[in-house]
Amino acid sequence: MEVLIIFIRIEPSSPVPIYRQIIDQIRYQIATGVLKEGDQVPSVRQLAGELAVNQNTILKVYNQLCAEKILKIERGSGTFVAAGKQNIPVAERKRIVAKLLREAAVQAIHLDVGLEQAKEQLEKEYEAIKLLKNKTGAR
Amino acid sequence: MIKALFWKEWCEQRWKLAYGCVLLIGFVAVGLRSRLVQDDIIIIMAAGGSSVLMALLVGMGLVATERGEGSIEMLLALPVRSWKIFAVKMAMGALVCALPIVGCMVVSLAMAGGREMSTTRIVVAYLGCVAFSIVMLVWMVAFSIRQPSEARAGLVGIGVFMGWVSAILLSMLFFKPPNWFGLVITPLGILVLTFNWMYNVLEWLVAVQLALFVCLLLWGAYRFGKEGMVKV
Amino acid sequence: MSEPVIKIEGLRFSYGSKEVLRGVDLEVPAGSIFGFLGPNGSGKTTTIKVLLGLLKAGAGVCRIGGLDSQKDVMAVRRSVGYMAEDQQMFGWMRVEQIVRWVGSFYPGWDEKFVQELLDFLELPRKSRVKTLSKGQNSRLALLLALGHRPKVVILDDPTLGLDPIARKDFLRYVIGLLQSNQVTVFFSSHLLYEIEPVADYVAILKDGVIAKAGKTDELRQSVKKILLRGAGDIELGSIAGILDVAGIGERIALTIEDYSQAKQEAIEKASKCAIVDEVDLNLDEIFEAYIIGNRGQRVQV
Repeated sequence: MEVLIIFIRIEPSSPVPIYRQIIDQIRYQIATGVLKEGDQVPSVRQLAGELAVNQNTILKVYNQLCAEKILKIERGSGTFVAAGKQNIPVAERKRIVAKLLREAAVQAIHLDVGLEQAKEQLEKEYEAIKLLKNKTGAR
Repeated sequence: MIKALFWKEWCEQRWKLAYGCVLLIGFVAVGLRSRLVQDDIIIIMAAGGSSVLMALLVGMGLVATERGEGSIEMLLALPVRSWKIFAVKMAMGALVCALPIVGCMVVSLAMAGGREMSTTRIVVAYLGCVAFSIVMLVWMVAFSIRQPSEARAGLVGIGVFMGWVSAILLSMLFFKPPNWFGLVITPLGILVLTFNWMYNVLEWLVAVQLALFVCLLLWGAYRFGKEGMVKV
Repeated sequence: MSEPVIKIEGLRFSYGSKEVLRGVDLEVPAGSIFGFLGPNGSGKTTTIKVLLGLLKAGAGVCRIGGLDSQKDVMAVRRSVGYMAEDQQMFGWMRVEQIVRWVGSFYPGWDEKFVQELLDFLELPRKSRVKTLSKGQNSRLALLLALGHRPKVVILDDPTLGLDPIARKDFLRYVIGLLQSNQVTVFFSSHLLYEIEPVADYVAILKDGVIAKAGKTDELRQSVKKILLRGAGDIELGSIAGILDVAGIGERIALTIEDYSQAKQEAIEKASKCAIVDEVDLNLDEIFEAYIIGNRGQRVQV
């Protein structure tokens, strides 16, 4: 089984701590189906090298994700995405979305895009992505 | 370790050796061959001139180049005592100063030994100049050891030489011959001695010059490892 | 808790009459990556030079691996890897020459490892040092620091002047080559956002003393910006750890370290104001607060 390359972007000027950013992005990728159950993720060393991040930080990330049963370590083989659906608690999921929506709302208001138009656009996006996810899910 | 230090200094200094040899031996050879002037004038010019020239040339590049390029930081951070690095630099410097002069001596002996000057006088003249050159090198390096560039070090060297000349002139005002004070205090006395004047200052001269030489060498070694001056 | 590999106690140093280090205290745990931060000219290089025995301390003790920095200078240099700030090397030497040359000074030089490193760091063996690019120069300097397999590596602003890609690559080498082998890394920088992903511990040098030292992730968590809505005079002297006070409209923004429930109550009591918002800060803001924060005690709204 080949090790997947995880595309993670760390924003150094963000107030969110780095390990949180990585955790959030891995969860996000699992939730949206980019990382699937059974996929092998890079080892601590590999990911640390790729992102130029301290190995202890990556270790912390993996430990937490393992504790949340999102990843599982198989001794001798590596680290894999665990079975089971998205394991992000509901409150957390809502928080992530709320933040994104707030930013969108601010922009929309600035640019004089009305609430109805924005809702319409949001529906369109939902449809488009669902379509995409079904396509990738069917692989 | 010491071998490595010698190798580095040799690679950096050897062009000066070649340059000095070609220039000076060429001058001597042409001068003695053409016989336009008396032999002893050629030899005094060659020996005296080359000793000052070589000391300046070598002295400029010994420490100041490294300070100018910034590589001295790396050198001083090595697990070697800084005085050892300094000693190797001075040894190689002295060698590079001395060899062209010795080369001139060999050529002069071959071409004009016993002709107008006796071989002994030629040998004494040149060896005296070797000693003078090394002494001037040490004076120059000791005083310019924290200078941040070769050019500045060169200026210090010229300044040192001019300082000696001034000291002698001043002493001539206050002291009557034969004990010109300036002559004993400055290494120019060595040259004067070599070219055969004033033997009666001999003991004083040697003692004082030796003491100054050793002191300056130790002072230089001590200050070698210290921070350099900032270029203004 | 094992002995710290680098230990600095009460270090003082003056350049002539100017006192640069006024009692620096620092401990670097074994096997960690330790970021040493401070604005330009704060004395980071001076501290490192004292550690290497290149400068003589005015007062205080520095120990590396149990050895005294000022007394056992040669032993320290043999056991430590050092990369100077913007290290200039002998331009005329070829890469393979300078590597061999430096190797002759270290009894523990690992020739095989060095050859592997030359390939790994993509350094052209036959090129003269003066023809190397800045990135190659930095990598060469790093190689020379690692050739004798030291257990402690001290890097002075190693990414100075490198483009962002080269910088990241350099930090990758540090993580890959050194952290993987439990080598303790002590490196100085003035870019906190660069140090944060890489360092386990951070220390900030300000006005000749350590303003803050601790684990990197705790630094982020412990420093917060509090917005108060209030009126009148506010006396804040009783609250410890205020880094910065600023007035923004009718709000007061306090940047505080070691923020806790207790502090929150103390602030509300002292200021008789409500706390309106609690803001997370990014690292540049945290660094700024420590270095140039206005520590005013009284604020008028």
